[in-house]
Amino acid sequence: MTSRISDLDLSHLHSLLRSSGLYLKTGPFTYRIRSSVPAVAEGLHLLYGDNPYFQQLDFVDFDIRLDAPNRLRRRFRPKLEFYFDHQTPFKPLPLTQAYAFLEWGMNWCVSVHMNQYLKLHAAVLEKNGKALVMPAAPGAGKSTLCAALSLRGWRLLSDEHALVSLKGSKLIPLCRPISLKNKSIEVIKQFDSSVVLGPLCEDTHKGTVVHMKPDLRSVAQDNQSVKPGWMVFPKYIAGAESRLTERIKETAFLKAGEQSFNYSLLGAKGFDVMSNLIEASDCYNFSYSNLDEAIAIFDELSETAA
Amino acid sequence: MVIDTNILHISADAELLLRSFGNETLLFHSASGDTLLLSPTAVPLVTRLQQGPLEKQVLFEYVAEELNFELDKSFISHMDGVLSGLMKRDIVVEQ
Repeated sequence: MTSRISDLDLSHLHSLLRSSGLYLKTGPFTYRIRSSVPAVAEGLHLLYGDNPYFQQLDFVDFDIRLDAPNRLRRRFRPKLEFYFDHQTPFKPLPLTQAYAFLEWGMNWCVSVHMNQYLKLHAAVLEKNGKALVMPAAPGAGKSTLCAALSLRGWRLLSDEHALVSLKGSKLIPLCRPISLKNKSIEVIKQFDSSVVLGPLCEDTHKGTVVHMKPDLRSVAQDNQSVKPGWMVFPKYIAGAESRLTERIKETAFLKAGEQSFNYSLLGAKGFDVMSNLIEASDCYNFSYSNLDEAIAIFDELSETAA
Repeated sequence: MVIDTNILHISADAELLLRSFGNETLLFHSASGDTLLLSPTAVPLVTRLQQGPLEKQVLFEYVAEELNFELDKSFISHMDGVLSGLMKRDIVVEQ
């Protein structure tokens, strides 16, 4: 039986992270993660606890490390560097933001590499065998809605990246913790008191950030791709009634293209894959302020998955 | 109505892909990587030129007939605008 990361003792995990690293497989990608920061060990232990534990992998996609650049930086106004293949693509960040920095770095790895997929900045969930893709710019309420849906029985494929296969235009899961920011944190805590949240990172460039653990079923099905069903563009509007309105596919195509990391890079192939994705999806705009109303509407929508 | 007799054609550098989902038409221009939403009058213009070079006069007559418009001054002015947009993006060029 495969052991899970949560089966490791926290101190053992911390020791692994300080030495040979933790091999983490999530969706189609593998990371080797190293760090001497306790918050990183605690966050990984809690939020990736249901992911399988591998003592060794022959190949890793991303070799990353989060650590202070030197001894002085460990003691005086401690700051951390994110290392990817020994390069430092970001400015250093304070130690207090360690866990968020790790997740952002892991996102970046996927965003700028891995062009064997069409990649959209979108949340992806599944119900009744069809994928709901929600592309959105930051601040649209995508992650809050994604967290609520996943807490009400929708399977989480990703909060951040819609990975669309170049053959067949299927959605490939990349099930990782959901990033919640500022007021959304309290909203989700009140929505479901059983929610498991990782280390709280305050005063980041995005405000206060915390990551929510994905449910066991979503992690266990992290290798099962899904056919597209719906593309919904969410927008949180304070006090607004929930409203789902059809959107013509041609403008949905262009809007989704704006939220893609590599649509233009893929050229004609990107056009072809996006066309197939849109063709297979019913497209909508969705404005909301109340999560219970939103869930009811999406549950009803999921019944249309013929 | 007499329109100039310039020969127009699709730029040889570009592969054009067209896709419609029943409402409007999207065009992918491989040379620039741009995806455009074509106006209804641009669609027959582009698809006709994909078949081969054509005089502007004949092209406009074809589009007017396809869309059941009169080839009058306002239609020609509109089509000049459409054509100019496509030429600015190097999708259509003059021979």
